[in-house]
Amino acid sequence: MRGCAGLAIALCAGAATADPALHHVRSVTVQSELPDFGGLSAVETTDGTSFVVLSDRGQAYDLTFDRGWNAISIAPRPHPAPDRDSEGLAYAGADLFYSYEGPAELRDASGTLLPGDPAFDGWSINSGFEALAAGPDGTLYAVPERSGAKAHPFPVFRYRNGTWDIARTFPRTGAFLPVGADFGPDGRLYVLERAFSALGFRSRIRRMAPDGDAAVETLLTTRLGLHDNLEGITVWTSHGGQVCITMVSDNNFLSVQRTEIVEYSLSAPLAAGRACD
Amino acid sequence: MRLSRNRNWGHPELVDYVQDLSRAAAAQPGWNGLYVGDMSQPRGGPMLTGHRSHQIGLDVDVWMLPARNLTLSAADRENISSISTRRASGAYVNSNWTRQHHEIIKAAASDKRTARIFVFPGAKVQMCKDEKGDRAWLRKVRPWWGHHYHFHVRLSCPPGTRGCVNQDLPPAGDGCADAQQWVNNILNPPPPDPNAPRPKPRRELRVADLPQQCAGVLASQ
Repeated sequence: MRGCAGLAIALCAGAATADPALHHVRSVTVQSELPDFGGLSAVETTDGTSFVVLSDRGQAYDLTFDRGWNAISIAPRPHPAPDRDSEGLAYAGADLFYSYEGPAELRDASGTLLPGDPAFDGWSINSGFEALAAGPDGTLYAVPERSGAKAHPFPVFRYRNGTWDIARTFPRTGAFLPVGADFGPDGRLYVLERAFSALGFRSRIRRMAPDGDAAVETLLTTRLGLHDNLEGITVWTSHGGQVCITMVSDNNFLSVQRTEIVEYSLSAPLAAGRACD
Repeated sequence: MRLSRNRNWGHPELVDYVQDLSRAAAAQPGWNGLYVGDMSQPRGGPMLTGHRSHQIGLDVDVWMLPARNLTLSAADRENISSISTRRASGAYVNSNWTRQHHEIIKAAASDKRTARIFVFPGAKVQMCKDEKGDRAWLRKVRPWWGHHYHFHVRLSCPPGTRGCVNQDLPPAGDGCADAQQWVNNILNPPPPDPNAPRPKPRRELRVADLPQQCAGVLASQ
């Protein structure tokens, strides 16, 4: 706890035992010269500087973020199924996997389909895998956007050794529906959820063990309109050792919305306010 | 800007230089000074993120965003964004680029203390086209990757600094043909050289890799 050395003991103890809370670090609007850029639905990073982002129109981009001037550069990258609504993205080691809506399916970076499961048959066209994450051992976890009914919990589907099962469920509460997921360095699954109304969007982040029935923690619930329509989440560790969350928004290609990068840190900012940099 | 990075430290000559350049910028319409990005860390040395230079207190990044408000809070200076002045991957300037940028970079390059200035190639070519007077200062303005949210000034070794070694001077002339060639290569990339050596991955720096003075800095309290 080197960071505590200069602080009062009470403050330091409080920081260590208080409920986890997210600290908003920055929100940056992304602009691009690329005509098709927008509609972001998923994001992944391993280092917090270089990101892969997907759009729901089947485009993929390399995005680099220099926080010195909030400079964002964007370049197209190959997408294994460029005509599809891609909604989820996960690094299993160095290998990228992609999830899709309508129909629900997963592909590897070469475009090869992963086996499906009878459980996915008959889902509605807008009910594919919005959220995809890879555990530390490469096991894939996918969450559909719908649970079938308001009282039904969401299933977390798990793919390992060529077969699917349900690793756990988590409760559906309020108007929130899952849109993104990633694993944190703590081995837990971070699920981004979104609630939509005519007046704007709200976002929620919940964290849970990836299997079993341990309790689900709510880390963040935003007020209406604080952020754009956040749909992608990636969790990473900064050079300073902070756990950081980067999210991207789907502007739906509408002029009244904006493509936004929003970052939170799971731990308090370091001395002088430094966080996730 | 970005005070939390603790990279707002420099050689006294650099601090003087930045203040002088800021006064020159304040004479430009729409500018009241400069927004100053990274210089160096206290007592210099390598950083975990961002730069390979900026290690000896003689480099400064200057934002392209016109500095109008000089009463920004620390939080403002953490969050505000600079502006890009390029389009077409740096082949051209965009509508954020103004004559004031030209004049401020000209003032920066005309200073005897300046060794080099790095800016994206489209900006150098634009300044080459727009400069109708003395062109000698253009020699110090060198095209480089990135450098469209800011320009980077590197000073020469101040007189009497032991252990400081100047880089070779830029090639003679205004360098405008070189910059134009760089732009042409952005617009029509040449085929990759099949015999080019593969770039070697850099390993992490260790204290033993650094000049011996650095061990003294680390050992001091």
